[in-house]
Amino acid sequence: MRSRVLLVIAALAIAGIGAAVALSTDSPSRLVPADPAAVYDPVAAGEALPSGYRVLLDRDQIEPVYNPDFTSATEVEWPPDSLVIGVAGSRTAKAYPITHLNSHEMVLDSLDDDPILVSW
Amino acid sequence: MVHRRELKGREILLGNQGALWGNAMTWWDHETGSVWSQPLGEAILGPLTGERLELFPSTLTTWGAWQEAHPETLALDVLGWPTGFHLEDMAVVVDRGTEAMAFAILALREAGAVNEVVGGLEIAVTADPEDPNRWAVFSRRLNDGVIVELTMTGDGLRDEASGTTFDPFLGTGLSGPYGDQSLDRLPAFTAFPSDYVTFFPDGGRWPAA
Repeated sequence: MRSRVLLVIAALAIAGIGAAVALSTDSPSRLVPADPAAVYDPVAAGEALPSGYRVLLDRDQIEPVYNPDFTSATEVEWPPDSLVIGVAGSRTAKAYPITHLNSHEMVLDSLDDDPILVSW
Repeated sequence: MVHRRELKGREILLGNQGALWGNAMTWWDHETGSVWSQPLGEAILGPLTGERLELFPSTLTTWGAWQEAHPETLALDVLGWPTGFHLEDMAVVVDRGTEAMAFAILALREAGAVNEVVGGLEIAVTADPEDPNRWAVFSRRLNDGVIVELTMTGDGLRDEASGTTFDPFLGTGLSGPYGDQSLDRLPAFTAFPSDYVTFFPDGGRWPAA
């Protein structure tokens, strides 16, 4: 699926349409993240910080997954005892392995018609 | 945990603020830049301070149990690789500066030896089917511009074209026309696939996803 999506992106780029167009049934519309530097930052603006607030990294230095891809359960070989976060809607169920969330921390997704944020 | 990315009926985008509050992660929203506390689901700084996101029902469970309960479940396409904190699920990473490539140890052990070109250099990666800690990365270039193509055999690492064999983990020549030469070992390290994609977002992967 990945290669097909890349082909579609390439085709769109050539056509000059841009990427904000439906690419697959999994993710009906691609999210386009804002430039962190172009968005108001309460810390940089000098707002009073709540006690215990610690700045460690820049915004999105650990990059969230803004446009996740999915595959069928039979396509992955995750150990049965490995941990996942699971969500189930009326039509779709999805699983996010903790190992991946450990490094990316956030996945922006949709379940059926609900926009969701999976975080770890 | 899972939250609904919606505020007053409008979808919002959230990113990683890179700060901790109460030892928990914080987010920034892409519209107002407000900072949100993950465990509270509430904005603690910026114009949306005090607003809350709704918690979305989710389950923390094992992959086996989730699959049993939801046989039709979709799975986040991580790399097309097996995942989990197991040594055999790690990858051997070759970083040539201009290009990096990660080799899944599980598949490497099945293949025995893999021939690739990374950063313009012909390399071979070898792995011991019996021991996940035993692997090596070599340049496939010998003296006088000779490039070998290596397969793992019972007699060692073998270049079919010349009939030369090498020690699969030391690289020393064993027999054949180039048996007096050694393969140069290259630096490499092991990493979890998920960490690899974080640090080498454009890096290559073997086997290809």
